[in-house]
Amino acid sequence: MIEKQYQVTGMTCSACASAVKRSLSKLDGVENADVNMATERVNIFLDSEVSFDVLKGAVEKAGYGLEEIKKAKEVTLMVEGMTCASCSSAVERSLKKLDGVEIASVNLATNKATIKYDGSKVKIAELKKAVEKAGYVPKDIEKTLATDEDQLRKDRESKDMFQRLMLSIFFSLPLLYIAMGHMFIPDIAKLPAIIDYHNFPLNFTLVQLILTLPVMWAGRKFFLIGFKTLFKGSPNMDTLVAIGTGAAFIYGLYAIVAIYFGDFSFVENLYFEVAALIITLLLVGKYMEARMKGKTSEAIKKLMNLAPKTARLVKNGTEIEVSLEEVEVDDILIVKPGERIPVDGIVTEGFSAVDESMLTGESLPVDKQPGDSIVGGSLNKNGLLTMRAKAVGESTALARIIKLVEDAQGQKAPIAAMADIVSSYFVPVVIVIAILSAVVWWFVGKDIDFVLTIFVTVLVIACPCALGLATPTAIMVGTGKGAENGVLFKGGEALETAHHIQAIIFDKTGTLTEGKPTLTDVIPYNMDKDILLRYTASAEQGSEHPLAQAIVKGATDKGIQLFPITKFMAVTGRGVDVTVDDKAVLIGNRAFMDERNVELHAIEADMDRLANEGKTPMLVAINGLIKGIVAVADVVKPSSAKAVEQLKQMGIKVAMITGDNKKTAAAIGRQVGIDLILAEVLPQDKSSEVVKLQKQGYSVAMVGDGINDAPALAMADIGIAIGSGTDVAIESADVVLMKSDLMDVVTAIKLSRATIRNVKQNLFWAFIYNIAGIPLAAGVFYAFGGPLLNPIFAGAAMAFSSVSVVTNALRLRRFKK
Amino acid sequence: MKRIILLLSILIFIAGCTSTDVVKREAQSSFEEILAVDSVESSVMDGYAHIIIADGYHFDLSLNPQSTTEDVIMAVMAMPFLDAGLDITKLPSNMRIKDDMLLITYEGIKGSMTYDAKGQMNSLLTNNRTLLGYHAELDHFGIALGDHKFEWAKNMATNDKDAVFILSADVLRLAGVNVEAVDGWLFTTMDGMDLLLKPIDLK
Repeated sequence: MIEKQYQVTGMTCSACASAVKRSLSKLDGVENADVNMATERVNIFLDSEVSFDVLKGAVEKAGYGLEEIKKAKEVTLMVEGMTCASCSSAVERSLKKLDGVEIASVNLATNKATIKYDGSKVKIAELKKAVEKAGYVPKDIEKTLATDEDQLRKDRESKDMFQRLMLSIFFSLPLLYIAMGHMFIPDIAKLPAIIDYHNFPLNFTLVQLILTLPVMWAGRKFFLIGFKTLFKGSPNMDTLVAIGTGAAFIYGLYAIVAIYFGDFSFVENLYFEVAALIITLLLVGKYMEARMKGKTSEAIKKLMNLAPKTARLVKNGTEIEVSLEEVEVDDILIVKPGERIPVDGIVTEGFSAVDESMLTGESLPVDKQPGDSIVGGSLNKNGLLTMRAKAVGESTALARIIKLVEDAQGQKAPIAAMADIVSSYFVPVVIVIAILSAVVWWFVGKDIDFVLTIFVTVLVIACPCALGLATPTAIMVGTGKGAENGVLFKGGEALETAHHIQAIIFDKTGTLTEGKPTLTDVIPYNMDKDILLRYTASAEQGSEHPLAQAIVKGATDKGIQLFPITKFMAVTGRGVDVTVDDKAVLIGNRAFMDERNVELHAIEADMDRLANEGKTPMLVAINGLIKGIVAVADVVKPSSAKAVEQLKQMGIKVAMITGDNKKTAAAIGRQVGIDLILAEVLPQDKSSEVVKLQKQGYSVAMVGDGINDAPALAMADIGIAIGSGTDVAIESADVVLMKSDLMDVVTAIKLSRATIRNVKQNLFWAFIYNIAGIPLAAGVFYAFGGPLLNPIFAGAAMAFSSVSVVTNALRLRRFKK
Repeated sequence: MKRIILLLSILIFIAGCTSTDVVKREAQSSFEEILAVDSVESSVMDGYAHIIIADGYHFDLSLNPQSTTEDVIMAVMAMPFLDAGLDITKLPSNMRIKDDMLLITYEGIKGSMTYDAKGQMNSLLTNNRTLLGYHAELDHFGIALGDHKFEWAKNMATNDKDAVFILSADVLRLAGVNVEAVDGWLFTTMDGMDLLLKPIDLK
């Protein structure tokens, strides 16, 4: 399956998103298309390669535009060796041949090449190679300029929308005064005699027409898109606005003709102000919506701004400032106090405290010394650090986090599907309701003014503007807020599923505990203590298991020399079978010893005692005879007990899963407050335990960190990987915690609950306007002596509905852990 | 923006070039219909165009307003007002009794001299546009003559008040008239003003 992401232009509501999805899904090779209204992006899942032009054609057929997402950049390179115009032409030609280079302009006089390129397709190193290929020498970069094409487009649109809004307001206010002032404030709203509606009715209407035209021009997108999508068979919100205000405008034109021919009664019922004010109010709503939508992606912008633009590269013993793009793996970099770490790497010299709060949510700075890993984007607080780059560009943790959050924000939550289904039927149904209402009132005997009022009002009040924003805006803020707190949701679905989790299974080692076990007891039987430890540690030196490493470390710390091993066999979930110094050494749990027929009677009491103390006793047999117990213990994380308590308070059943024996597991369970212990579970059986709980009707979350947790993480309704865990665990999980603090599990669930509550509120607000508004607008209440909705108020309500939904979503920004 | 300015300029130009004064145009044509009614008589005499709407109710227009002080005269029968208590000594300067008629005069008409009622009315409406108004409630055109007014139906076919003499009740009240007891006249209040109406159906 190939996944591609593009920018969709021209969408205004969820009906647009549905139309784009429908159009793309019809194409051969397209498995699915997810359109996100809030980010205005589409994720297309392809079975086979489909060209961009074909995809673009399909989207355009639906009435919208499709653009590639560009990372536009500009760089000025010094070029040496050019002597004439043909040299500069050769450099230009060579640069332009690169895919992704949009403009290459070489100035012979200044020896500078200015290149505009797509950063996602071509790197500076490739540009330099192209210059070399042409036979010249690329020197240092003079300047770089990175532009966020998406942001630029949004800024342009925002500016354009503001201008159109101002134009609209500028003409609508006098129009409102002229058209309605004499009705509401006749003593104050005096009109000049030349446009007095009694004496000069045609002038009165022509002035209104002249004032309305610029407003219609300002709102021309409603008409262009609205009618285009109507004719393409996929009407959207703009269609409703276009038909409603268009009908009002055409009626106004008809009134002008009637007045010209002497029927002055039309002067009382012009609809120009209705058309203009509805457009103005909707533009107000659209503008505020665009402004606030920008705020929903603030978290991503904050993350993007963490990476510095330049780095201090040490080259031939000299420190030079280079663009971040030029940093390569293994480069030596200097980070001064107060500067941000440019890329991921390892400290080679210096000591400092590094603030990683923006990446992990951890408020306390972390001390760093030579050998420690440091993450790009974190802040060097007080010492000078020299580092070796280990991950650059898209490979840095920060870039991967940004990608993960961007992907998550682009994905739809299942709850959005309901809004999508409703909105795909909504617009045509509303058009039918508007026509039916108008026809019914016409037959009841109402005049054309009343009928037109009903028709326009139903169309305007029913615009599903807010419906398409209800879910994605909340998901965007929720995932962004999660990222700020070190909780990365991999998608809307994860965010939604997490809110109804009923049971959580924690892996023990490395999740509830620190995952750094230490050697605590060596109990020999008929053997010297140190010799037992020497054989045990020697046997375990081939294993990467944390418990084995604890034993090896315990032995080496005591200065014990290890034997070389000649045969090593690990039995998953049981232990190891090793030949050490020509002796057959078995180390493992009771089951392992039972399988190998090793008599354990003599050590039963010690085993139980150690297990009851929460330690993990490992039995050691040499040449088939039990020779002792080596015990290791892992320290429970300080936050584990508090996290378990809070989860229980939230009504969630908490379980612990471990391969440890039941007694050790129970002891750890007691320390952290977990009653449901799933002990002696083999790694491959962890996922079965998840399934067992699911079969009991629980929606299950699994929290783990190791490779062996991956199947269980994948099997659970929600897999939560802790950040210190393996890549496999992180890959298998739906939620990644950037720290190892289990309180973040609580944060994840609380945030999920807050977000889904917010989505539901948004959907309520989006629907309530339509559910309550349509019968009111259609005159149902009026028929029984109730009020009739004015079309201008309908326009105001619609503008307010979008604004209220986005404002409500932004409330999530105040979420506290 | 340039296109908007261009479009507005074109519209304003068209509006400027086209006669947008539909009220004046319709007022003139509808008054011509009044004049065309058989019972309505018009004549030119003593420097005035006399339009007799009905017996005892006429409307006179000076043929040369520049040389007269009574440019427009509404004449109605005086007896109902006298019976209702009119004290002629209290009448304002633009009202007087002549023979058995109460004359309401108006000075200040601009316009060229013509030689018939139709021409003079058209001249009056063209050159004194501010006096002309459209009365939407009654679908009438009207000429405001100070406190008083003369109105006629925009469309006689759909209106039973083809011509209406309208006098200010306040002015007559000050002259001693019991405005609610003027025989043949309708006392009413419109737009906050007390009025006496004499509607005439010409059909």
